[in-house]
Amino acid sequence: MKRSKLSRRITWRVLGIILCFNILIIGAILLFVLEVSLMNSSMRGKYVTDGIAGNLENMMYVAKTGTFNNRLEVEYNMETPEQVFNSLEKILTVNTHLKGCFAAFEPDYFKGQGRWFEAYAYRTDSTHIETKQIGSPHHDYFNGVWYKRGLSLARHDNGYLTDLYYDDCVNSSMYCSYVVPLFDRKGNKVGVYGIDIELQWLDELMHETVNEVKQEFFIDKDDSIETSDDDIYFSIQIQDSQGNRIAGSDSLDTNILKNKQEIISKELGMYDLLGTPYYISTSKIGQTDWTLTVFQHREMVFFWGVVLATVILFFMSIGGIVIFFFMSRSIRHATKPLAFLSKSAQEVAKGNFNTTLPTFRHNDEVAQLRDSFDTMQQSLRQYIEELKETTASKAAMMSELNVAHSIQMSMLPKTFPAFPNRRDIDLYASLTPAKAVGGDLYDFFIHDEKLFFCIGDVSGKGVPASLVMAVSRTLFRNISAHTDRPSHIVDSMNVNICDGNDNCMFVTLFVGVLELKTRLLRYCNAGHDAPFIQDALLPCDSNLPIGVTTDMTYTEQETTIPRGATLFLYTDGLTEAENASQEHFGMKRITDVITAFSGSPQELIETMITAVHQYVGETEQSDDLTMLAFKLN
Amino acid sequence: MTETYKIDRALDSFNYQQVQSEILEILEKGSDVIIDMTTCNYVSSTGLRVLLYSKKVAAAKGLKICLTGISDEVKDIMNVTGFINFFDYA
Repeated sequence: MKRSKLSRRITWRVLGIILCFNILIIGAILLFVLEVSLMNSSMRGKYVTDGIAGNLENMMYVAKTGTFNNRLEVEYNMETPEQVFNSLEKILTVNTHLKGCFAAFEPDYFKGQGRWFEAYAYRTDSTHIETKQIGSPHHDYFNGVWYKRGLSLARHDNGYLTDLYYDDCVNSSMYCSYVVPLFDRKGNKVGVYGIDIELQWLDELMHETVNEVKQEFFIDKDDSIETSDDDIYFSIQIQDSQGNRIAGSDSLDTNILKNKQEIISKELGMYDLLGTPYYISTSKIGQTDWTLTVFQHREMVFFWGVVLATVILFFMSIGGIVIFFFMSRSIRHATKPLAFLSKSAQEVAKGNFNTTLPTFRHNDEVAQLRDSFDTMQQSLRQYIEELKETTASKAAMMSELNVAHSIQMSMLPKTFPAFPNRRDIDLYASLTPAKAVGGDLYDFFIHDEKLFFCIGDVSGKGVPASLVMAVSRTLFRNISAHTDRPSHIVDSMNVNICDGNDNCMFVTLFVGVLELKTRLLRYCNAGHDAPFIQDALLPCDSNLPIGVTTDMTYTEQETTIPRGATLFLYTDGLTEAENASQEHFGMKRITDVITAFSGSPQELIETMITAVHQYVGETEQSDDLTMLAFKLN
Repeated sequence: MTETYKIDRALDSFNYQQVQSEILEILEKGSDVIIDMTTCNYVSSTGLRVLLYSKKVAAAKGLKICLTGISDEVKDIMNVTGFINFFDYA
């Protein structure tokens, strides 16, 4: 399994949070920047339109008022062509801002001048003024729109302002003219008077403004290169009331103004020209019916915003990397002690309880963990020490018990067949202690053609019972060497056991002496379970177990065992063998086994043991289990 | 003064130490004990030893212990072991 690192997890988590916030912040900044970009462009548009339109309006106003004043000068001096030329020259001399002025008369107004007479005065440079007559069949001004429109006006009407035009008669420049009708003293219209308004400055102003803006945006391109609309980032255009283009800083197709517009800023008058990449700001030019429009390309509007956003993104990325670097370093630094601790813990887990734990400078959670760990280590060490001692002493005790077990077992006759040289008796016995040593006993021997046997159960289990068992077995051997009367044997044993029996240990005991020739069995039962003779219980008197009281005389009984019959003796470890539900094996099951059985004593006892094992299953053996059986042939 | 001590279910190797110490406690107070065995249906050899030991301790103190409510099962056990005539009954 790949081990995951805590520091890495924390780092990624914190970084994730920072990233989320960064994205939010960048989003907000972008929105703000876009808003500011639009606002900035609106202001720029308004500044440019107001500036140019204002200039133009002022100029028009001055030109108009001047025209009305100077008309009088012409009207008073139109007796002769010379007078007209003089007055025009005079007007130019006084109004230094005028480039030229003219007076065109009705056909044949001056006799001898022919059909056409248009007097024109103009400046050649700042000091010289020239005059000439320019009416001729080639310059048939009667059909000129300016003449017709000028002549159609009443005296109190505003003059007529012509469209802009390039005049290359005098000097190649952009002009427009303002014309008013001339009246003679009788009030008859006799011609028109007009002035030339040179608008070269307008062209220059527009180009200058465009260039300024372009420089601001590093779009340092030559105008001539701007051939396609795509390249025009900032444009100023002037249209007349019909939407026809009058003048402009470039050749942008003003027909796109017919597209739908979406308002961006009402106060600053900026609109999004849908379907085009332009935002427009428009302004009416006073004194005229012209409209000035500033076009700003989307790329230009958002140029600084995009630059700013890129810069912010760049620095935020740099910042993110720096934060990641320092954060992962400091988190690694902070979690390093944990790795040390983990290493120490593994050492301890391997059993090296003397592993030195790392010490930490700060008294933080990690140090507290270390202290807890230290305490645990000490407890573990102590516990293991105790466990070692306990285990050692237990092992010693177990080995002692094992020795005791062998000693106890060696007290019992265990060699089977017990009497290999005899055909008349077949005897088998088995003892299984519940613990290492137990309180059950059996014994048998043949002496003087008599089979002495006994089976007994000391109250209780384990070592205390085993001591009494050893005493009882020794007593049986010793006493039965001197008497063949079971009641005497039991009596003597009782007296001996009772002597100094402060713990009230008692022994249930069955002692029998069988004369093998006559098959006469004399027996004495001291409180033990009655044995089976074949499948019936041997009748037994109710006698107290030995060790209870010396005020007891044990009764003796006798019976003759039929040839071929089996006598089966057992202790209560058989009847009271418990299964998992704490239910006893019971007399009935014993009886069932015995009834169904025919065979040797060894087979009987083995069958019984198997039956008990099946009954108790996995349950721990609750009491010592002892059986003795013999068969007379 | 007499106190009744009740043994439930059984008196065997599982509870003999507890029963013995509790009976001895009553005897320590100088009280006779009536052991109520109405609900006790089994007494093992270890249990019999407890009764026997308690009787001896009581006799040494000049006190009495008697049994009551002995079930048939327990009576059988007492019969087999011959203890039936050894105890007094209330």
